[in-house]
Order: sequence, then structure tokens, then C-alpha cells
Amino acid sequence: MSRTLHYRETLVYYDGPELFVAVDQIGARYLCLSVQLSEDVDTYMSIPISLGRLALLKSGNIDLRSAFLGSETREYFLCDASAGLDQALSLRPLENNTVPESWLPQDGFYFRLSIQDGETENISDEARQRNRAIIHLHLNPPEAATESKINTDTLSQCLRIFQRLVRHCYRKTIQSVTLKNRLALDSPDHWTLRTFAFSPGSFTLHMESAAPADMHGHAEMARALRLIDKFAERFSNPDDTIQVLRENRGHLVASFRDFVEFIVDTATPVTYHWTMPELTAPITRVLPHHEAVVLRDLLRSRVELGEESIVVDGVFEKADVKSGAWRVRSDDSKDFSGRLDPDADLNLDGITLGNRRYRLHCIEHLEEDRSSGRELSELLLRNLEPLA
Amino acid sequence: MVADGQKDNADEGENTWLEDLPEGCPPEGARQPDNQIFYRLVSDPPRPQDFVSSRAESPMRRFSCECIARSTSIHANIEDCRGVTKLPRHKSKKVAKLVLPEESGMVKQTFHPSHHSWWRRRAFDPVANCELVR
Repeated sequence: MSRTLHYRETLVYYDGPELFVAVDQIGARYLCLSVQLSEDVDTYMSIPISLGRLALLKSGNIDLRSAFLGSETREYFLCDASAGLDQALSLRPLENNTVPESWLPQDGFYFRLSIQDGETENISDEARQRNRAIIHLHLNPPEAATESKINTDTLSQCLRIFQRLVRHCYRKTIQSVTLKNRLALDSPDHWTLRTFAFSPGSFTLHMESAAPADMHGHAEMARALRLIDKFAERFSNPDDTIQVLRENRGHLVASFRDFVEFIVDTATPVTYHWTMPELTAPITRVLPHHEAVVLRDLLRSRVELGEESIVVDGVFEKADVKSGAWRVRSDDSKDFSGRLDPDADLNLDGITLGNRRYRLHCIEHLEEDRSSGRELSELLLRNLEPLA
Repeated sequence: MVADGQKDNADEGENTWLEDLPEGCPPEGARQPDNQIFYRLVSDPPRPQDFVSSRAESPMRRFSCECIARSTSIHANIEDCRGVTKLPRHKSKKVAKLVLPEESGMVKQTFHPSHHSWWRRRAFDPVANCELVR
């Protein structure tokens, strides 16, 4: 059967269509890449491509070279666009079905997700109508390739991780304000997200801040979102991201690491837009899967960045030499408990209970309770010094 | 409807377009850049031929839009411009930074977000106003 293609959409344009999608007589899709240009003829190399694989390409999960090298039918064709792309294009098989290296894209050409038409007006309208910070979180999991759907586990995991990230970012930003202002700002409403809608096209969640914006259109959640923006804008440069994370070490880094791990483990690139009534335009960040892979590996090698240090001065009320469990009443009458850090060269032998003060250097370890989704805190004692 | 600032093709000295533009070109939505930074693929060193339009480069080629064909592709994002050098026909090219003042012509965002079409004024010298990004 001789195949003819009809142009559908341009994916890359540079002084002419460099890469486009076309369909044949039975509706099968083809990816067409410009490989030669003479005075009046554009020659394109074409491969059949499934909707799913095309979605992986367009969402940045695979690069263009992989798309061509991994042709699903192992067929390669050529077509000439001498009469322009608005005419039917005749396919002819590539000789010996062998692709010259010079015709293949180099490694690393990935598509970046971009704002859809109408998105900016839509999100700004929502912010004004609801008088809150609004976040649109676009998820592109593999299962959304052909229709707007997402695995339930993926969705719930993303919501929990993103909410946790917002909470830790918010709490970090208010640490630097005066105590009086911190008491007013430290309300869960300022970091709590509520999902109020979905929209099709990938899988998009519409979320709002629980607390409304003030009379100037400012929402306190913006503190957290701006900090997340700082991490995300350097996503393509992992060393820069690590530098910014180093300035914010602790639970915040751990939650950001969890977000990056989520993108990698579920193969779900993320784009988000956010705004509040006082902003004239929404802010957008794109977090591609291939960049998350590189950053994830770097974060795994910098485990210490996610450690939250806690120092407690007080007296021991319990010290179990065998299990390593302990409990301390601090100088300001708060109770702290935990266990020995397995990696620390320390034991509780010889600890005086009751009336001897100690300074405990701990790491707070947060773990998610799978059944409730809540974070459970555990203190790991790393170092100990007696106090006068 | 034509874009604000468009002149007709009569010879008006420095306001003349580099090429003959069809009626209604540059299109509505095109604007004069205000010392905005863009990026274009060029030779090393850059030559005037690196900045000609698609139509000037391929006089016999068929384009679906003659107005776009008489523009030059530029990117607002350097990574997007660099990405094009990974494609088969552009592997040997280099990225140049261009600062486009008002008198350089008109630009409009076309195709994907970072790509812009640039309709040049005859008097503007792009080679003198670009530098290679090493």
C-alpha cells in the first residue's frame, strides 16, 4: 500500500518546519524530521509513532533521538515537501532501512511543557473570583497519554507530597520574622491547599489556599510558593539547586527531595502555575522528568541536606541502654523522646537520670504514616554533652 | 489589520523593510522590540547570510504562510535555541545573542512559546549587533 501523509501540527519551527506530526490514510501518526534542504525541496525522515510514544516525547519523558532510534515498527521513510506541507506527502521507504548518523538528532533534545492557550486568563480569573492564591498543577503521567486520567496512587501521592512541600516551605519562611508576627502567621490555613477542580489535557489539578487573600489581594501562601519557585527555576542546573537547598536545609529539603523522587518514580513531569489577586500575571515553573533524574541522583548523595538539627537542653527521665530509647524533660518543661542514631558512636551507659543536665544534639527524622498520610517525627540522638 | 508601526514598502530610507512583505504583514500582534535579548543560530564568525529570511534563503520553496516565510526565526530562550543545534540540519551552527532595539523591525511570538518571527528593517545590521555565546 502506498502511504500518503497529511500534515497535522508543527512541533519545532526554525526558518521552516523542522519537526512535525502527520497522519496517513488510516489515521496512523508519523513523526517527520527535516534532514535535507535544497533550493525548493524539504526532505523529511518519517517514522510511524503511537499516541502513547508521541505523548512521552511531547511531555519530555524521552528525547527526540530516542524517539527515532526506537521506532516502534522499525520502519523508516522519506518524504519530500516540494509542494509545501498543505499538500499530501508521499512516503517512500528509506534505502536499506538504514538511518545515516548525520540524520539523527543528537542526544538531549527534550520538549518542555508550556502554558496552554487561555491558561493565564483562566487562573487569574479564578484567583480574583475566589480571592485566594490559586495553583494549577499539571501532571503528565504515562497513563494520561491518550486521555485525561491518572492512577489513584499517583494522584494521592502527589497531593500529599506537594502539600507537605508547601507546609515546610511556609514554616521555613516565617522563621525569620519577629515572634509576634510569627504567632499570627503560623496558622495551618496559610499553608493548607484545597483542591477544587480538575481540567482535561494532561491531568490538571486546581488548588487554592485555605486562607483568603487580604484586601490588597495578597495571600500568605505566596511565601511558600516563591520559595518553591526558587528551587524549581534552577531545576535544569542541579548544582545551583543544591546551593539554594543548602541555604534551607532540613525538612524542607527532604520534602523537595520527595517531590523530585515522585517525578522520577512515576515518570510524571510536572508543570505548575500559580497566582494571587494582586499579581498581574501567573508564575510558571516546568519540572521535566529527565532533569528530575539528574537532580534526584545528586540529592541522594547529599542526604545531610535533608536533616533537621534539634538541640535540647534538659534532664533524662529515661535511658534504655539496651534499646537506645530515651526521654528528656527540657529546661522549658517540654518532653522529647527518641532513640540513639544507629550511625552515631554513642551509648546511654552511665547516663544520670533526674538531676543532671545534658545537651542533646539530635536529628529529627520525619516518616509518613501510610495509613493516615500524616508525618510522624522521631528524634535520633547523635551527640551528647553534660552541662554544668 | 496590520500591526502598529508597519510601513508600506515604499522606499522610506531607514524605515524600509528588508524584504517585500505581503499585505497585512507583519501581522496583528507584532510589536517593536525594546532592546530585548534574542538568540539565533549563526556561523562562526557570523555572516549576513545567517540572518536572511526563509524566503530569501529558498526562493523556490513553498510555504504555507508567506508572511512568516519572510521573517527570521529567533528565540527568547537560549536553551530553546541551543536545542535546535541538536537537529540534523543545524548541528554545525553556533548560538549568537542579539539585542534588538526598536529600529530593528518587529517581532511576534509564533509556534512554541520561546520562538519569535522577526521582520527586519533594512537599515539594521544584525552582524554588528550580535555576539557569539561561547
